[in-house]
Amino acid sequence: MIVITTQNISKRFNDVLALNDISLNINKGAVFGLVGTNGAGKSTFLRLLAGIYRPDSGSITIDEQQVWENTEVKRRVFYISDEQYFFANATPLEVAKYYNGIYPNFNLQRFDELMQGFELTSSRKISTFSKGMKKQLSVILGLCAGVDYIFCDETFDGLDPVMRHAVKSLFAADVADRGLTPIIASHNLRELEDICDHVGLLHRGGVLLEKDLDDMKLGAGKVQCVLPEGVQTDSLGLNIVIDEQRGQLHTLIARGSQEEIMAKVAAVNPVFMEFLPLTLEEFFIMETEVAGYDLKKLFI
Amino acid sequence: MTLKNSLSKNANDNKENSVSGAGSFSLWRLTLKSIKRHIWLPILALLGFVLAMPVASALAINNFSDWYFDEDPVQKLSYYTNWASDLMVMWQMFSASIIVVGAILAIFVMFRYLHVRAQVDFYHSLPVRREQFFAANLLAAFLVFLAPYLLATLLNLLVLGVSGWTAYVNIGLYMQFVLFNIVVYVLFMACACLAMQLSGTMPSALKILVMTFGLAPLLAGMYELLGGVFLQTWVSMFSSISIVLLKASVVERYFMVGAMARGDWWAADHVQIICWQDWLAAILLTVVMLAFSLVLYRRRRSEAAGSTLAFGWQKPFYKYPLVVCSGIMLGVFFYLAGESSILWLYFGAILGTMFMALLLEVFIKSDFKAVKKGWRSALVASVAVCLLLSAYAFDWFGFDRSCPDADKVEVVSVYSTNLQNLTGDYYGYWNDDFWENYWRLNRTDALSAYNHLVFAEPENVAAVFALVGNAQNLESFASDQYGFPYVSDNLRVYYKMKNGSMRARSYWTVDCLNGASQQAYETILASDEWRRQLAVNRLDLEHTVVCSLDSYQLGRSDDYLYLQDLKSEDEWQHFLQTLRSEYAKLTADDLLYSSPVGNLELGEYKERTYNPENGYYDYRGMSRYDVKIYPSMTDTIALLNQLTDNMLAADLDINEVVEIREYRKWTEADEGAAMPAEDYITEKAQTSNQDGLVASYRPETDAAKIEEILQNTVTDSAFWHTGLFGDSMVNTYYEVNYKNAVTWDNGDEEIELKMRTLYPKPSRELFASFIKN
Repeated sequence: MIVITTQNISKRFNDVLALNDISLNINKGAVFGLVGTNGAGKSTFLRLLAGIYRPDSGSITIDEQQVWENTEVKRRVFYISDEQYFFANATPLEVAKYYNGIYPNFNLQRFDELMQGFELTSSRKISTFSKGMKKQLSVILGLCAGVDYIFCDETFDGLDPVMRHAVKSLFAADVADRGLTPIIASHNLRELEDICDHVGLLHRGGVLLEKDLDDMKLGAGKVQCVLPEGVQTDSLGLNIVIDEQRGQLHTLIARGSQEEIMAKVAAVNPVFMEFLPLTLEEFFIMETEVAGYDLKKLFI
Repeated sequence: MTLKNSLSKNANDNKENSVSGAGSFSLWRLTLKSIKRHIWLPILALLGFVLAMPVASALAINNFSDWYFDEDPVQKLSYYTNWASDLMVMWQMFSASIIVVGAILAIFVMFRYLHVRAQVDFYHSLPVRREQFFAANLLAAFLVFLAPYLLATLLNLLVLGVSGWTAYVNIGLYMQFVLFNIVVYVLFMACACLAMQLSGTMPSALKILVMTFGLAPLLAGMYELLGGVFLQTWVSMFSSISIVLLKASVVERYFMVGAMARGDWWAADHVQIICWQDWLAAILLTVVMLAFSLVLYRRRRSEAAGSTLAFGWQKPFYKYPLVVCSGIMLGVFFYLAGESSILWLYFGAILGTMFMALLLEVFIKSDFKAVKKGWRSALVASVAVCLLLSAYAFDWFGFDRSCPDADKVEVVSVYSTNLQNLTGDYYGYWNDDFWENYWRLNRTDALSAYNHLVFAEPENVAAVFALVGNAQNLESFASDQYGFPYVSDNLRVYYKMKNGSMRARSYWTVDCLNGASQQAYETILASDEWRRQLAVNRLDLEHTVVCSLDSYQLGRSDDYLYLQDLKSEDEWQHFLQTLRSEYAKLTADDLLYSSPVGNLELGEYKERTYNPENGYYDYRGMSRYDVKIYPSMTDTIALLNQLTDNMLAADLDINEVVEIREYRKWTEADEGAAMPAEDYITEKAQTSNQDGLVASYRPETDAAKIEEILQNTVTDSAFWHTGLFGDSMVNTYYEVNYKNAVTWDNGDEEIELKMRTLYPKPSRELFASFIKN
């Protein structure tokens, strides 16, 4: 069920066109990853969804209601900025109480439990927290707010691997249990791969592509093989997108199902053949090269 | 609880276990939260107000009590009431300073988040309507002042009550000012709030705030500067533009109200200090500014945080007033420094305009590279400023050339140095009406301007036009170095036209040595319309005292006597009535062609109390007026001589004369001629000029000549105060050296030698000899 709809939204800052005619739909319960380089428009897009910015054109609806200045909708939304702000000299508990007065479903008890779980002190001044600890606190507050949608702007950056895993698990649990719909913006594809089930790639204010991860993986595959002498990869009959060769070892990324690709390679009696899972990065490279972009340049 | 357990916990518990009251923040709670986060603000305000009021009062009252010992209840009431008014002025001035600074600080703190991206993200992502944030922050900024101010006021009243001073303090007036201060606090809050909405950084907000307070007076200043520098006939502070712009400064008006309190609180029967216009203006401005601020707040984009300007449309208003003013100021500076050079004018204008335009461009874009793109608009602005300055420098609009049509004039109000010289000040030089007149919007009030005569009778209006008709530029009189006689006048004329409009012109130099001017003065001075306006005819004699007498007579001209408390009230009233009646009989010839024998200073007061310690009266609200005494006022002179041991009698005896020297001014014809030797007969004698010594007369040998000279001359003081006469009209003059007996305080007597300059006795015939046409 589509719950977040953006139609033809554009946003300009003086001479810079940050978003250009973007249309995206996000389903309920989907973990949506918003990927893009620096300056692609990810943060701008999230701020538009959170009702901080107003689009110059187009519309943004959540649950079929406009977001802008709509407190009913915003009560179901929690935004975690890339640059968090906390009240000067405040403690986590004071901030939680502030949120408790704003969000109708805020759960102070769960807040206490999560703070203990993350080993953060509720009575310690936030100004003494490290960057990672502040991010953890933001996530905790977001999860305890009892909202239906949580927008995270590069939230996982700055977390250590253990905390990153813990946060991902929490998100997953809330998604599974109560249908939380997170939208996570990051420039790190590997970060998003194991949590997101839907991704969108932004570049220079536009959407390059938007796909369900499972659908992406069903439509393509990667195989490593050593072909017999005299046999070229062209003769395999595959729709090859990327062909990398190191010595006699070919690494092919081709469109088609796993069975289809394996069958065609096996037909030429290769010396060696192995099917490998496609990473998100490889999939994006495949898709964007088709679109005429060299993704490696985008992510350097 | 471990992380693992919390992960397995049913997240749906969120809704079931949410604490009651979640999401129930009202405006009031938001406001309190805001105040709590900035608790240092009300603490600071309380400290300031407590020091300004109850502490200052306690200190002052303690000191007053130490100073005053007299237990006479009437005196004590008088002194303590006066000191109480000092206290109120002190409270008002201190409170006003805290209010202005406090309002700005409170708003800057509460709305600071608009300028920081991270904070904007936080607040605007919350499910709270923006209007609610606006209202909460505004209310918080108000309460952080209100509570401390009221508390300090209560403490102040407590101090007054405990010390018994509530009997002396005008509590009603005090409460009026308390309420007004609250309204003005909100007004300054509104100004600061507007500045915060229009800006994205604190320096920009400060600049906008300063412009909000100061732009209107600055523009008024520029307008007056241009007129005053370039237009010969410009009258300052007459234009409606200047008056309205000056009144548009809330800071100036607020402190003027506080400053005005000083004069009026002093009086027992004070006038209403905060007029209804002040209340209305303060309330209206506050409402308009707050409404505008709210509109801007709602329209303001969150992404404006960190930008100099929040709205693109405001850039011209932000930039160009300051750019133009900079160009004008620097242009005028170089113009004056370059001795009225047009080239230097353009140089300064271009420099000032370009510099400010590029500087502001850099400031707005926060990038020095903005200079590259901004130079074109700076150049265009420079051209515009040069055009503006040219319009003034060359008087393209013909301001100086234009003069109202006499047929269309109903009333004229004229200030003339010659007319003032003739009869002294018309309205006094301690004019209590200054503060009230300063704030009047109606230009018709210029008709009653300080020291102006008002004429509506056709012949007097025509006389003024005749004077104006001879106005010339000052530069044309630079050639008087060879003694070319001239008499000039400085005129400032307000014209009320028959259609109700007002115009004004100032004429720096008017050539009076012509028949038309002479006739004009005679017409005016012979009229009852002029006579009715003289101070001597307008005074309330029952509240008038004679302050001092200055004699112009030879031998007494160094005497200056204070006459206030010399005689009884009845004698003074008789004298004043005599003075008034003889003044009414003076003719134009008396006023124009006869030298006064002295100058009387009268003082009209509002109230006075007798001070037994020194035997004198303490006067309050006194205005002083100079009244010249003419030879034809014989009864007045007789009374004054009686009262002052003949101060107005010409009592220099020939036996007291040591020598009279006759001088003649050098002219072009004397160039190359042998100068008479300047051999001084008496070593102690004085001489004060370089002109030619013609002859020297001594009583032993030239008694008759000396008598003739003494009969036909007047002292320099008398001459200078005679009608239209001036030094340049006289070629021959005298210096008399005479013996003057001095009695010192210890009783010793000494004969000292004194010198005085004598001029030929003025007369109609003498004046007529100088008329050119």
